[in-house]
Amino acid sequence: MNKKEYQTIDEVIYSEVLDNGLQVFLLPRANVRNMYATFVTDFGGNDLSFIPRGGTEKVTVPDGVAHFLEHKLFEKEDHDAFQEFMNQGASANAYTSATQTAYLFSTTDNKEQNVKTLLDFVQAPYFSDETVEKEKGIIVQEAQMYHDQPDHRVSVGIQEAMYHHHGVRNEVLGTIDSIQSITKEDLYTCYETFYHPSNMVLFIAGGFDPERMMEVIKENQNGKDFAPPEEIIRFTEPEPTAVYEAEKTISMPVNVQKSAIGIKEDMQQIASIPQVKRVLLNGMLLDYFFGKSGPFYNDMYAAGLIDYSFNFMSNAERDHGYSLIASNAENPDAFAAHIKELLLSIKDQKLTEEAFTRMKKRKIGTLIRGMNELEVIADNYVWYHNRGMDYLQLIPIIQELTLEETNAYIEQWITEERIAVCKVIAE
Amino acid sequence: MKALLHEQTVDVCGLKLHLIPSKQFKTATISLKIKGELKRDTITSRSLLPMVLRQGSKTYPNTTLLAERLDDLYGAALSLGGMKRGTYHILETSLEVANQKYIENEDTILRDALSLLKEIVFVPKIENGAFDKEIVEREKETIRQRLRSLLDDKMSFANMRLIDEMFAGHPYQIRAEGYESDLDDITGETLYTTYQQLLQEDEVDLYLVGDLDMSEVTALVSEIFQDVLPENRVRTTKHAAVKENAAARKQIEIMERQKLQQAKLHIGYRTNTTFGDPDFAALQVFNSVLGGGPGSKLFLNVREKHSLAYYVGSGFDSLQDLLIIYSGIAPEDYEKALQIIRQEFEDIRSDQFTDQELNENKTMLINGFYADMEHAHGIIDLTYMQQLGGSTQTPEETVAAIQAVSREDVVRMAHKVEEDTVYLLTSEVSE
Repeated sequence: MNKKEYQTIDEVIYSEVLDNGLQVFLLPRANVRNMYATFVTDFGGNDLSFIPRGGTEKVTVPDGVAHFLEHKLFEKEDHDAFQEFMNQGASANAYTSATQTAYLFSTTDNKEQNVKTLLDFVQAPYFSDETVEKEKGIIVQEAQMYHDQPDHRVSVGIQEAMYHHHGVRNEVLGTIDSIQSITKEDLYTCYETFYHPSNMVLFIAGGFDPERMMEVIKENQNGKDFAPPEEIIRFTEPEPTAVYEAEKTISMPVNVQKSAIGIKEDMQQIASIPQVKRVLLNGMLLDYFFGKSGPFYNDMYAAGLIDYSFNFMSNAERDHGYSLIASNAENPDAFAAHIKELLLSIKDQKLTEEAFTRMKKRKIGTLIRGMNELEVIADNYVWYHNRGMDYLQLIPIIQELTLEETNAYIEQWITEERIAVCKVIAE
Repeated sequence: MKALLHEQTVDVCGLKLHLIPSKQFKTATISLKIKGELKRDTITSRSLLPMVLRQGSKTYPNTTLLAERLDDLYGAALSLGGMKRGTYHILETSLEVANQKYIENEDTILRDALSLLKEIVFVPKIENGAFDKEIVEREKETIRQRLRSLLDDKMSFANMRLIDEMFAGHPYQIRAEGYESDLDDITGETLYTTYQQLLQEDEVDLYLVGDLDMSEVTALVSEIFQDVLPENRVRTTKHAAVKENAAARKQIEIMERQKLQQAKLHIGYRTNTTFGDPDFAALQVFNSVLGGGPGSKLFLNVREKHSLAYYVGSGFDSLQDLLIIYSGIAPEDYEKALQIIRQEFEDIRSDQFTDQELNENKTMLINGFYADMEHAHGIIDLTYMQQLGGSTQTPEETVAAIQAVSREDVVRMAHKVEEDTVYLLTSEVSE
């Protein structure tokens, strides 16, 4: 078991890769009663084309399989895993994103037993034709719920506008039709390929004894047979740098219209700049330019172009990346035109030393705040780890960023062909 | 065993300071609460106030300067807002800052944060006895947009309509977000009058949670907050929730139609029980068995067994006699879903639940309670709720009360909770 101390932030992480390939991280905290565990597979809504384990030919599964699988994994032949966690005083959940699926629980009781339950239910699938059919009614209602939410519609619409082929274009939930077409066989194919321990990470944070916990995990894993790890081959069509469509309009019954602007990351930059710098710089720059202390916010707000709902985010993934800026907008076209103009003006701006220092301080404070929460540390640590980065070492990396490299990054950050707009207008 | 919570309070500068020292956080959380009664004629102004205050203070007169100040405090998180708690309206300002001990060469973050909080709430930008006209007009537009966009959130719309119907004429009916029709009459002057009145009459509480020292914090607060509140304050110190409950009506059904894919079936019940009542713990356990989570009767039957909904559950307001069962269903499944929901409720009344269900739900509630106590805002919410509900229960007593709830208590509570109104928001073309 490896032990890594992070002195500036007072944390210790114990880790080990088990014989079957499972990566385990333990972050014990003194004086904490709660414990949070997350078991994550590197498989999400994006992963639709791949070579199945034991196969040689590429297969393509229906949209929404990863999410469907997540729902069905809780159901066992003779019991329900939710129920089992509840019997043991834990509260469990799961989520599927474009790139990963996570099964998690938090508890103050029966900690070791709940960890075993987490490992056992995820590692023993039971899918039948009957239960797969039954789940469709529930998932279709989930999709219908989102269909009535304008914020959801605009966030899906902007991905469709930005991307030609990439899996991120598809809704994680799938469409009503694709959900209806999913079979038990699809679930098993994905399960066998992506739920091998070597494609998964277990992270536990909170009040527990790390030595004892590692033993419990090892004993559980040594009692199960797994095939040797195999490399997973996934297929993505080459994605052009330019957006698929510069403008997309969704018409639905709303009282308040919306607009979102997406900036697709340049494929060449993705290949040439380390991911950790893309993650940090995209986030910090967006925050600097569009945050409340930035050069644009006050004027846009005073002019009524944006309101309280104004928000932005960025996501720098391994093979793609984007930033989004969105708001309620009385006039979605005026909002979009204004943001686009601002975005295109950014490449000529140079940050001052003062602004750069403030930007770093803000990012460091935000990270420290997040580290209060066991869930935030665990979820982030796994995400960064799966991409070859260390979440708990971001602060020194931020401190070492230079003004020169940041200004150089700004110069090629945004170009017009990589900007798309999606509007929700009242029908 | 160590006590779960050490709350120390002291009256200082006309406000009540609550310090909850805790070594588990890397930050200090500061929360200022200003409590007044919900009134129809002031609610829109009270809802507007935090938004106007957020736009800048005397020293930091616009959002850019204010935001820069927050950045200098290591990205301190500031939030201002209003909320309804029973029949009270609470204006809450909170600031969360990194604990200075994690950052080299920093020893004034807490002092600076408290000063900034004071600036924002108590030293606003006022000229000639009025808030800045442009800011007020701009924020009126913000409220207008917010009220309209609430109409697009069907789940909150259904809840709002249900409460409208159940509490017609009662203060609880008043919407914390305000009313669009009031906006035209609000000016910088009228808003300043509301603000002064609130400083004069409302109850003010300041909470601090973190790895902090009481004597140091008390000294800082007495220095920074001196002179912010008028000396001759009339404090309306009514502690218990207003309990003038309307009698339950019997199963009134209301159906409204909009263009949507998923229908919202929300059912309102009278609990006849609020925080601080001896059988409050029984209400918590009853709600948990009925619709508290994925092990509840509603989840297991409406969702898992009959595949009728993705979300279904129940929740109650601790300070008002209200419990709501909510679900999102296909429009054509209305009758079936209603019948199953009522059946699950009847099953608890007729003692149809296992010891295991009872015990698991009690454990879940207790574990959830412990988990909340490990979040700064969870600790603040709990201690503030106790003050509002006039309860002096320690966390240990709260846990013991849940533990002591018996099967008979749950059955009795199921009879005490009465169905009042069924509200259905469904699609335009019935299928």
